[in-house]
Amino acid sequence: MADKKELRFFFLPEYEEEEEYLCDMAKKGYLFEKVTLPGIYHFRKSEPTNMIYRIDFNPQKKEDRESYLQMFKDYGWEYIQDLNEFSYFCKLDDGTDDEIFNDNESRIEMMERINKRKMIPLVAIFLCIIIPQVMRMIIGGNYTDPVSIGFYIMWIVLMFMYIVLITRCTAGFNRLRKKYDVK
Amino acid sequence: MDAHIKKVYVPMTETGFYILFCLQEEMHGYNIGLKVKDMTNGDLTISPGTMYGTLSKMENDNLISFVKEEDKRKSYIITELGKEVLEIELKRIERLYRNSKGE
Repeated sequence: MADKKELRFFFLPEYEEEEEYLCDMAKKGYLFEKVTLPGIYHFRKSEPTNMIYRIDFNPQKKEDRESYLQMFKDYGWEYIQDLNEFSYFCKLDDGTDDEIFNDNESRIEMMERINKRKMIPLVAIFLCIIIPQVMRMIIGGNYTDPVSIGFYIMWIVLMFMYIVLITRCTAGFNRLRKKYDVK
Repeated sequence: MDAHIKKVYVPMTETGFYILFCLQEEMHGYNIGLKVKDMTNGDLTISPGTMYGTLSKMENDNLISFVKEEDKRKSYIITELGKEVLEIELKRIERLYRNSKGE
């Protein structure tokens, strides 16, 4: 049988769903090779395998990179790749130590890192660029030529995409906070 | 000790406590994990994401300081501020223990 490619999209707070997806694929005999934008997952055909995949988010300075990866290596995790500053690791399931976090405090800290580094810029773009632009166009009045109308529609679509994105991410982060029970 | 340090580190997580306790001697992350496993008869395993995150956070907050990097492994040691925090935690845990024993 052949290798496989699948298109999947996981929102910022959905890294646990993504891990589960990769583990399930391995159980079906498709080992995760790499993921490329906009969300194409490449798999290699093999025997059904109990492979565990974990995703960490801990962007560091370039000079700290090697010691970061070495730490995971010492613990038996194989590094696969980075995408959007998320780091992908895998390990054969040997029945022990299948987590990269051992308490909820550190799970929450990772989530807050994602929130701060990825979510806040998203909201900033929405509030400082998209909203003012749409407002200006609405106030600006009559558009008759096709180019202007095209731009008009593009910005409106963009605005709705951001609304969906931000709503879904906020809900996801709240769900995680509840799950890990932040005080 | 400023309010931020108190808020974050008093009381500490079990993981945080053991890491800081071990760093009274210079050590790198993976070895801390092994030592903690040994000290707790295998009950407490510190995972790499937690270990790396805690060490970076403690270094940023000046509880520990970076000593050297050897074979891509970074060693740390406790600072004066770290010792203060550890002292507060030890007293708290001792009191907890005394009270629970009813002594």
